[in-house]
Amino acid sequence: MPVAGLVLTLADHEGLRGAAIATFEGDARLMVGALAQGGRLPVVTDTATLREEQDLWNELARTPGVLLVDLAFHDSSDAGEFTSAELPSKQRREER
Amino acid sequence: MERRDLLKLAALSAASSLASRRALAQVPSQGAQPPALDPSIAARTGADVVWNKAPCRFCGTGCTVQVGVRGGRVVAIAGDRLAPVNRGLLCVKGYHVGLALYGTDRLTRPMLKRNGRHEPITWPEAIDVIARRVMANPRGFAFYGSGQWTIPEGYAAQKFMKGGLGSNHIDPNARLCMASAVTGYMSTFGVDEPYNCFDDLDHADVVVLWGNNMAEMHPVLFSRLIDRRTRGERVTLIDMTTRRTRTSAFADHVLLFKPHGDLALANGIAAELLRRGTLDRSFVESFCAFRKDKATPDLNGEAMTFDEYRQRVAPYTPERVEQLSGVSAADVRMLADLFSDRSKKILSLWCMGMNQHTRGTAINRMVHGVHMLSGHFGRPGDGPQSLTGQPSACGTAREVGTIAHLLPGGLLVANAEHRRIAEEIWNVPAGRIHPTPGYHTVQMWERFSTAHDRGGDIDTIWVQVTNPAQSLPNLEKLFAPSRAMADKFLIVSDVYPTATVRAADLILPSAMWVEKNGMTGNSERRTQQWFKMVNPPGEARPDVWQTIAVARRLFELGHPGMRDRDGAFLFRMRNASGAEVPAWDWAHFADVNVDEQLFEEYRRFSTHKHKNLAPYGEYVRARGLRWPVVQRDGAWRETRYRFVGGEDPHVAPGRRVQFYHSVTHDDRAQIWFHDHVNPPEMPDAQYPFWLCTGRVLEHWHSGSMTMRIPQLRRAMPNAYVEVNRDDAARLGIRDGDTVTLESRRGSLSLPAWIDGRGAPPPGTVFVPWFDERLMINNLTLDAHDPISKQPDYKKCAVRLVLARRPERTP
Repeated sequence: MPVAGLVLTLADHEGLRGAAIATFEGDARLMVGALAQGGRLPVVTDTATLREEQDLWNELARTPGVLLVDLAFHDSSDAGEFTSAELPSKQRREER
Repeated sequence: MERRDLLKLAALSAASSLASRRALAQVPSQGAQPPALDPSIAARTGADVVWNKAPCRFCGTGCTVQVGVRGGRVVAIAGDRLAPVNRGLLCVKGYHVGLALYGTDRLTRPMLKRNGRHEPITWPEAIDVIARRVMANPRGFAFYGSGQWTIPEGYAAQKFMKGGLGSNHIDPNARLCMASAVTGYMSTFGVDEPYNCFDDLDHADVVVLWGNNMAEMHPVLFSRLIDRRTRGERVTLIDMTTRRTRTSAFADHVLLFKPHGDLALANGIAAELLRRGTLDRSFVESFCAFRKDKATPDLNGEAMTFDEYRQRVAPYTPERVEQLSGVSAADVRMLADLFSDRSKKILSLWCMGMNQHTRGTAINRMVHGVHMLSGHFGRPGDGPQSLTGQPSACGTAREVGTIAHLLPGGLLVANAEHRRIAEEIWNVPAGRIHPTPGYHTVQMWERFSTAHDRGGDIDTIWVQVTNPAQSLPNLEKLFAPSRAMADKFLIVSDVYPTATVRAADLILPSAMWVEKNGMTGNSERRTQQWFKMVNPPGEARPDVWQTIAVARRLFELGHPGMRDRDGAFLFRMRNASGAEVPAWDWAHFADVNVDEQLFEEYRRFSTHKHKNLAPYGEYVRARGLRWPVVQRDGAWRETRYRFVGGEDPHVAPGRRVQFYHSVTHDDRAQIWFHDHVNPPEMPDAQYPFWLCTGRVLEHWHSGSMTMRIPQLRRAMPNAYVEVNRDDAARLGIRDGDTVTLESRRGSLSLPAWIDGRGAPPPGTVFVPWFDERLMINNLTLDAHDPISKQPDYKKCAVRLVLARRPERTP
């Protein structure tokens, strides 16, 4: 059940910025903090799995009006989804 | 309130702090030491999470993280707001550092290769196998580590080799990383490591990046810099680079130069300063001397006069520099304008771009020289500083001296007095330490991959904390051949099944990061300490225990080197009441703080080259201390700027600047002249492209840890080749096409990314090296700097062939 604190940097455009904040405030997976100078918005994500968390972050990054997504805090008590790397396939040729 | 609600409040607090940039604007007090845990975090997460401090496991920045542990597992990470380096921030790797412990394929049992298969064995069996290999041929044994060794781990390995076996065949991966910075510092100032510190980031008016993609490689430091702009400060950023990167997007000037063009640029700035008469005559006359290479380059070179220097540098007019470097004459003059203006404070930063260079020592010396010639030296924000890529490249490789020619504390194996000092501290018989430097990295692996009857006199290598099967250059020559030789034996201590582990004869599972006590030293001379917080998985054990256990087995087998002058074991540990504790026995390893005992012995070396370290307990209390740390007015005080009066306690009272380790023994630093020379391999008709290799933000080193962190792996899942848009159009390459890269040493197929994260100029391609499935070092060159012996991963010649176009849905 990962929890993360993110900082979203929002566009200067008032309409876009307002729409983005309204969207986030209506999303139960998010806790939204106070907008700071420079259009920086603190947001907390609360999801069931790391994969859902990553999907949510990607969704946030794609939201119109969001320029940057930075991470400030991460609780990783639900780690353990890792699947082993594929075996390496070395490709090389003999020295010519 | 539920624990989960507390966690969310902690996350909101951290994000709000970052959003308001309060963290970066606050400079933590240099006075009283803050508590080990950040009370603002601890208060919000409840009593079931125990927090403590540790430096991040990854790069050389040395960010302090707050590590939250619940139920014997690291469950949370937060930036440490009381840390002077990162002031609450962490990069995307740092925030996920806790997950590096929990890849599902951690190594948990020792394994020995039998009949082509790795089979589990016991620890005593594994230790015995190593000891008997060493006993059979001590001179054929080598130790290969890295700047990921903690200070006590590196010190134990160093003492085992040089004080025990009397062999200097120990070298770190740091040889591939910052050896040219070492030789640059030593031949300029007479002693290694930066004189300045990260405080410069808060004071510089101009920052010049010499081939350094700081936005991705040292993102927290870069954030500190860029954040000053958001607070309304004027900071001019000059990005001198061979390809556009994320850093370039923030730069006021992007100066794209041809590979090796940095040599011409440094000479061009110097020539303009002399032609205009804007050099700082007072600084140069008071504190500098001039030097050039002998016919055969070495560390010391030979003296020359100022007039000779002037004559040699004069031909580097802006127009000639433009021809050699590709940077316009106008931009060369712009750089000279900046260095001519002493009202501005100029900070030069560099990392692999200048170090992984067949003229790495030369360009390091020359950048120091430009600063001294112009007098941009000695004030906060005004000087040259190298950055490092590994968490303890400075603390362990350079300061403990796990390098083939060094002893701890900057002492040299070739110096009889230094050997005497080391033998005294280690209490070993006179003559125990071999007077000849051991094999450097490339030599060591070349001899391991060469048959014994052809001069391959290294037959056993023990690798700890690094992954040479991926990180060495020209792998087909340096690594692969040994794996087909029956008498060559590779021992690897690691945490995951890396490329090197899979090729090993004996695998030892290691504890990592907060699964053990540790100390590291970052790029600004800051030594940091942490305590073990969780247990390692299975039978994994700390590297320092492994080294001591092998030493003890050798002692039992009768190896004379494992005894001191009194016949006692080399690694004797004592408890508080003075009784001996058998720390080599795993059952008793935790009975004493082995790190503390090794560190207290090691720090006796630190006074000889004025790199004074404080007692262990001081580091327990601090978020790191920058050496020299000396006791004044009853307190242990760190040093921000070496060689500078009023800052460095070793500078004589009343002196403005004193280079007290001067190679000319007159308190002067050396300004070196070097000509521009072409790289050893350049694009030609057959191989028409430059290949540059490097790292990306999401992955660290060979990716063995970060590729096991789901978020980082998803963010950057595989290596790629960056191709210039015009080159791609000419060759019919589209985004995502599979392209085959071929050099004279090997080939590799990987997806093309046209003007992706970076944008190479026409005729250049870039490939990151973190992906073990796409080993770019099969193509790179093993040519190296003649003095530092550091290979050049940044430039060799390749060609591109379109191999396959992915099927696209209509």
